[in-house]
Amino acid sequence: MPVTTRQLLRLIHAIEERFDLTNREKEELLSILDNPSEADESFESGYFDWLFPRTTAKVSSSDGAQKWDLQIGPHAQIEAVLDNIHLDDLIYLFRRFLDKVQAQDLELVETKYVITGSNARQQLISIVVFVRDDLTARIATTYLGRPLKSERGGRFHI
Amino acid sequence: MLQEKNLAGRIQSLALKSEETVELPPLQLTSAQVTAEFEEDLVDRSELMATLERGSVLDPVRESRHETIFSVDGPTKNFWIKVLHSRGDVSRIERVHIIGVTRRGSETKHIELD
Repeated sequence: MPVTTRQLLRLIHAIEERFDLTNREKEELLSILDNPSEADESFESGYFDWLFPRTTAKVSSSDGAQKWDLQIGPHAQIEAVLDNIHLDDLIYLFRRFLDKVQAQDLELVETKYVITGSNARQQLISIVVFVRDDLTARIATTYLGRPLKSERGGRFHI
Repeated sequence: MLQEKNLAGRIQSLALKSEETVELPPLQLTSAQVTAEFEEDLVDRSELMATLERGSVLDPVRESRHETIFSVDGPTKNFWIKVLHSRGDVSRIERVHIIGVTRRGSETKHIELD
């Protein structure tokens, strides 16, 4: 899905706000975003990943029974910036997930969870989280809305 | 003009994109060519390298909005990966980036909060 002008503007704003970058670095990064197809290529290839190093948040269920490290990698952080999803939204969604686990006495297993729910601003967000036995959960991808239900197509060889 | 030159120099590797299953030929990658979103996942790097070395089938990940994340099964693990190839030659794989790792065969669970 190509990036929209609005998404590009969000990333431009995020880069312009960075105090750890020199003006020259900012100019270089922003010049890539001048060209939408170049911008698409740069997102997909992970060119901007170094700007968003992994971050970890301690997240607990409301009753404190569940305590997890929620890790968010560069890929998911860039997706979040593009879609105006805040770090707090991801934490909020994961906390609600932990509350549901507690309330319904669900057993968490080491696998992928696609969690869909609204943030405090009533935006519907989905996150795909790799849940691990060591009480870490890693967000692999995030986006607005629900997961698309697409059928698998054909096959091609390289 | 200078800017265009710079761009061409900067983004040399492109991500493989497909809505369809992709069959990769056997790939010989060095350790340095396999990176990870979360460095802890590099403990499974050798299994991924061995899997890709035999030739592999990549399924586009339907839970992602992008066509650049693929799922591939190793003997014991399932990997979500991005495959980066050189500009102008999709058969020249330059790097494989691990997005996530789970046990092979583990089911994806969908949770609705609202």
